[in-house]
Amino acid sequence: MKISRRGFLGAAGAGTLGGVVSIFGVPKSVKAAEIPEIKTVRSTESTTICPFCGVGCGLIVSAREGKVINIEGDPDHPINEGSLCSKGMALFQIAVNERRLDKVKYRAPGSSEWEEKSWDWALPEIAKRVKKTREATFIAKEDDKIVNRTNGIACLGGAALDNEECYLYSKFARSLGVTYLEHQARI
Amino acid sequence: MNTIKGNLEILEPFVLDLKKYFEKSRALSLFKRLPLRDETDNAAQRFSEGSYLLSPCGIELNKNECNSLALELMDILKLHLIDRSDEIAAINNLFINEEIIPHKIILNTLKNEGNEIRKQISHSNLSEDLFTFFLVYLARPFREQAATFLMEEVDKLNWQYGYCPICGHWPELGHINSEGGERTLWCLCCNTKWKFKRTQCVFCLNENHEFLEIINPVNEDSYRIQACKKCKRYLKEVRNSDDVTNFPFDKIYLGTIPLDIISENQGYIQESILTVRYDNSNGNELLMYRQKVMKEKINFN
Amino acid sequence: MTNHWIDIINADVAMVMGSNIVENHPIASKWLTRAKERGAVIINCDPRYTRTSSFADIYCKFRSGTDIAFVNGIINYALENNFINKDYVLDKTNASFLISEKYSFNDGLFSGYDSGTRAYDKTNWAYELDGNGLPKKDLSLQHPRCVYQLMKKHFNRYDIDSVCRVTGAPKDVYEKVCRTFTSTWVPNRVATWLYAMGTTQHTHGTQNIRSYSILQLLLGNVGLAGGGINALRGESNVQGSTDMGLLFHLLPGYLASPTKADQTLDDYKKNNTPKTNDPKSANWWGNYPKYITSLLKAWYGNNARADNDFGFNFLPKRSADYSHISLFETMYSGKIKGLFLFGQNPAVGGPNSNKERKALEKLEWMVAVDIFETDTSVFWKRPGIDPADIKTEVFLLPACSSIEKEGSVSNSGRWVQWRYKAIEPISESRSDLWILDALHKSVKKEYAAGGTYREPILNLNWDYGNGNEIDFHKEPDVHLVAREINGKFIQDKEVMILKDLKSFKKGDQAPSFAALQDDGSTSCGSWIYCGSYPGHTHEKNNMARRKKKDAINNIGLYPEWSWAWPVNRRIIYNRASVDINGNPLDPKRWVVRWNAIAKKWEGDVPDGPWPPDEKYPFIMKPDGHAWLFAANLNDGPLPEHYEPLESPVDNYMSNQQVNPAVKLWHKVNPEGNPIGDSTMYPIIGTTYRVSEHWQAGAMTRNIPWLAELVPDVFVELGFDLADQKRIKNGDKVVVKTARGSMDAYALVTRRFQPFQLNGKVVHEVGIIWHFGYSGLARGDSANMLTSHVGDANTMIPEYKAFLCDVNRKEGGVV
Repeated sequence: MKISRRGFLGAAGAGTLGGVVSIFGVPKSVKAAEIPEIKTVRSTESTTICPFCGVGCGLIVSAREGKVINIEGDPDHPINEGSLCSKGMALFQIAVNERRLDKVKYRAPGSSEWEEKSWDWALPEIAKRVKKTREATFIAKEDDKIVNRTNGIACLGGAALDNEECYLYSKFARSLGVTYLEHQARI
Repeated sequence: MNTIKGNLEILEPFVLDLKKYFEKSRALSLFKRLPLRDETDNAAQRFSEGSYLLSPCGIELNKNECNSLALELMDILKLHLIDRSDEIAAINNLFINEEIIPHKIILNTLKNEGNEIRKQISHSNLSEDLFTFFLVYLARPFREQAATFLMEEVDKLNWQYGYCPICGHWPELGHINSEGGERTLWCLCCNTKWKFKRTQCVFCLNENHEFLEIINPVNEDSYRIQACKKCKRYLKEVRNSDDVTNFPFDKIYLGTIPLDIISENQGYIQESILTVRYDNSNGNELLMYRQKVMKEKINFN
Repeated sequence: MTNHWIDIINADVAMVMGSNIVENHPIASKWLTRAKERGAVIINCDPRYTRTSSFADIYCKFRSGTDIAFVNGIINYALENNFINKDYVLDKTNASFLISEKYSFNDGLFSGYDSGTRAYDKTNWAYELDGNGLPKKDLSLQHPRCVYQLMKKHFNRYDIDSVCRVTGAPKDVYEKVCRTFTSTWVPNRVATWLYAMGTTQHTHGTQNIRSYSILQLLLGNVGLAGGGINALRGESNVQGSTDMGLLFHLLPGYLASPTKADQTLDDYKKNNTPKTNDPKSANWWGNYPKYITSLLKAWYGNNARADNDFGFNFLPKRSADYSHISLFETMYSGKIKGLFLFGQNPAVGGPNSNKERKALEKLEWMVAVDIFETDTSVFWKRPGIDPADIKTEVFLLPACSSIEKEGSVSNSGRWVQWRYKAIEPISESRSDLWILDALHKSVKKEYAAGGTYREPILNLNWDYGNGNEIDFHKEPDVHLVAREINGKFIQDKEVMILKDLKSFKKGDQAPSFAALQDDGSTSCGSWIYCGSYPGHTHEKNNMARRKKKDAINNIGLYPEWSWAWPVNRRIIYNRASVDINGNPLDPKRWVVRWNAIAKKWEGDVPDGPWPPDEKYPFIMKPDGHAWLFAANLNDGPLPEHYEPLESPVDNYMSNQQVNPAVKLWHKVNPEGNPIGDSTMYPIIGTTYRVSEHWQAGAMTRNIPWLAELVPDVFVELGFDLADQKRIKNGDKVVVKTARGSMDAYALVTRRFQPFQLNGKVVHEVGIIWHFGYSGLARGDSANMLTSHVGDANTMIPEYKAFLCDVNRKEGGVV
């Protein structure tokens, strides 16, 4: 560790380190090299918006080594100014919760249990069913008028999805010809 | 020295004497003529442009108070910084020989006249960091009194920058209130405190959280450092439930030297008053940034 | 909201009706507190004495389902006492417009009603036009067929005595409410109206809001700071999800989804683009063609061209009502085979749970995407069901939580706020963005080999930077999506924006929707979001702005904190807040003002950039005026009181018991849709929320801290009813309606007081509706009691007023 004297009046450039450290708290008998290193941990603080009601309170999430260590209200947010209601305060327990879904699951017809599956398995299976249903229920024309829709597939959700996700959902659903497209705003 | 708590204990007597020195000085009338103070509207205008308020124009100091404070501070240093006694004696001699005159050098300091100060001590062999420390703490009661005077008009106004709204120096310490999470920055030079956004670098105004790192000592995690990977500067911070008006900034500033060591070890640069240039801003981009803000009224987004 | 959360501080009077803001939007009540500190009077009207009631200065009780009578009475009070902002009403509303001779109202029905179809011929309510095709007006407001006089006649029936008789409101308090609220008719006093589901979840929910709007317009409170009509939305992004068109009748940006009548893009444009002959009307929806064409370009890229009608027929066309209740009715009939659920739990949140859960059993497949195992996703093993009987395949896909992804959400105040990813999605969970991207790619792959009309799928413009294959580790770039939503120029173009000619290059992001074109030279995913991301890098992402500096008018706009739609306007209709010279009507809290020297507007983004008096302020209406008389609604141009579908009394105001335009599902599809009357179900039932739980409970009932705070479902009832039924606080009880019954704990309080209706005592009870059979905290769902009946315009279910009975559960165990 470098403890050097850095000039206030001299010509030393801005890049040199040290300075005030040399003055204080170092007992006379201790040499620079003897000062032991302090163990540290690093974290990041990022901002987010609460996923619950429509006030849109700001929060700061502290994360360390890929895990959430703290969630608090964002004091700089003009609406909530750092305060949170009981739901916002409990957001930590959304991040850290053993009940969180962590694997793809599948329930077979008539079964009373979930089976664990993978994305690689599930996505093509879902696509097959989408196609099967769309093929079986697609109506190109109704009373000689173009309608190009399927009433056999319905899409619900999601008022807690991001705007970009909702936009893609809308695009995806309509591309299939889905007209039964609804979500929480309706109810 | 490997814990902040330990460091605070070692420094306790020193800090206590400094505290008494500050408290005594607050009762004194330090200015024969106070700095110019803007009307609130003008102050608001200056604030929005990033212009700090302390203008040394027309200031006159009370010479007697300058002398007595210089003497008192010298005594404190003599008493506590035993391993620097030679250097302290050297500073003392400059006063005795009238090579530096308290009210003049304090005024130089208030005006940030680095060159002028340099001239006055050029022939001596003073250690620069100690002399800087001495000047900062000597000028402090004056800057603080000026700050109190100036703040009366502006305490409700919005200051969006990281440097001190009164004297323009970079903050030495931040305080985060654990109730509500608000951050307050503190200026060593004039004891001014101002609120500042949590998720932003004080120095370069970077708001990208991927470039902002929080470093905590493992066993004393109410202390922390906010370090910016973009500009490589850092700020020491303390998080606790104290009200910012009661928080002992001076004591904690000195006691958290270990955080400065940690930051240096991790490659960050200490942008401290004790290391900053005044008029000579060679290589100091952040000082230049601050000056640029004031000159060109940069708008930040 | 027309205004926004912080703006509440600017009100002199705040009416909280149809909302329990202190309970359910707790942080927002901070702004009510500050308003109070400035001298504001808070009025709360609710069937139950809630946390908001105890915070309010005036609390007025009234019966669930009688909101229209209540507010119509205040309107009548204002009209009779001339507590009207005459200038505002004359200049800015259609009060002076003349209505067709065919219009009439009698005994609860407007003219043009067909009882067979239960629908009105709205042409009976049209304006009477002059030779230029403009509505005739009487600026003296005396003509018997001017809107103002028609209103006086209509609302005249809602005198205080009648209102109190219908609503059960105490007369003295009601008078106080009328006096206090209408005191804001003067230009320097303003009131805000805060409402939520208590307003909307009725068979006449839309007309509830209409009554608020009419009153606010008469008082001159719309477009002003501290005023407006403010819906307190319940989810973090229900505003955004609606903005992005996740409803059957919408495309993103509130464009209509095509119907069968729109066979070509020209048909669609013609059928949807309003016209006006009035040069002073900005008629902003006249820009419809630009927005739909830009949307088609965003969705279909180069596959949407002038020569193929911009791919218009790629979009499905609707022929009927596909809203939630209809959806589940159709599902119940077996016609819906597959269901996608992205973060929704209808098994708890939908009305008539028993029927809707049964409907789910008819599905062949379900894809549920969520962060916890929801009640809906395990409908096949719910209590009382043998899974062996249910053939539905269920795919449960793990979504990541909000802090594990990056994107934007829009709050009630239309503030679109960017939020960041703090940690990676846990385990194998993925963002909904990744999941949708993967689903589209998977379906596209399925259709590569062939299939029916696969063009809409294969031609979709869909490239978000993570390649053509599905890679677990490669997220789609949310910034690309956000920039697509904002819109851009597809070719070099010069565009006239107001009076300036602006030059754009191919690839430039569009700066605002004023730049969008209808010739295919621009693309834009949602026109109202145009301007949210007008550059190519995150530095230009306006939604991510965090500058906490107020505008020069200091009314809490914070114009550089995030971005609000449209075009960062924080208070909409704000040009209604100035006079013809652009001077604020309420200078103390001015929103916009015209700087005659600089020749520009100051303050908030003006609602229309034109200089003062060039265009009328209500630019989204073809006639540029706010509609006191609204001829476009299904159940009438003026609000009229009807009883809820299940009501303990006859309609006192007319012989029309129920909203005549409501679809009666119990007659259309009787199975599973029984309704009850007060002989078997004498008690009024309603539903409400608590602060600790959220919506259908899938999140909060899985959070230990919150599950501990409110672990069980309860029904709240008053002391009188409890005594009568020998129910003690904490007893287990059964609440029953014609649809079903549920078990709950009894919470006996003074907060429900009985009503005196037609000489008899009628009680009301309320059940919290967050509960279901899965999660940490479990219980019966209040929606087992509610029915499939919805509003005449929006089809939102009538959760807030039904008939039930409550009795002690014999045998103890719930």
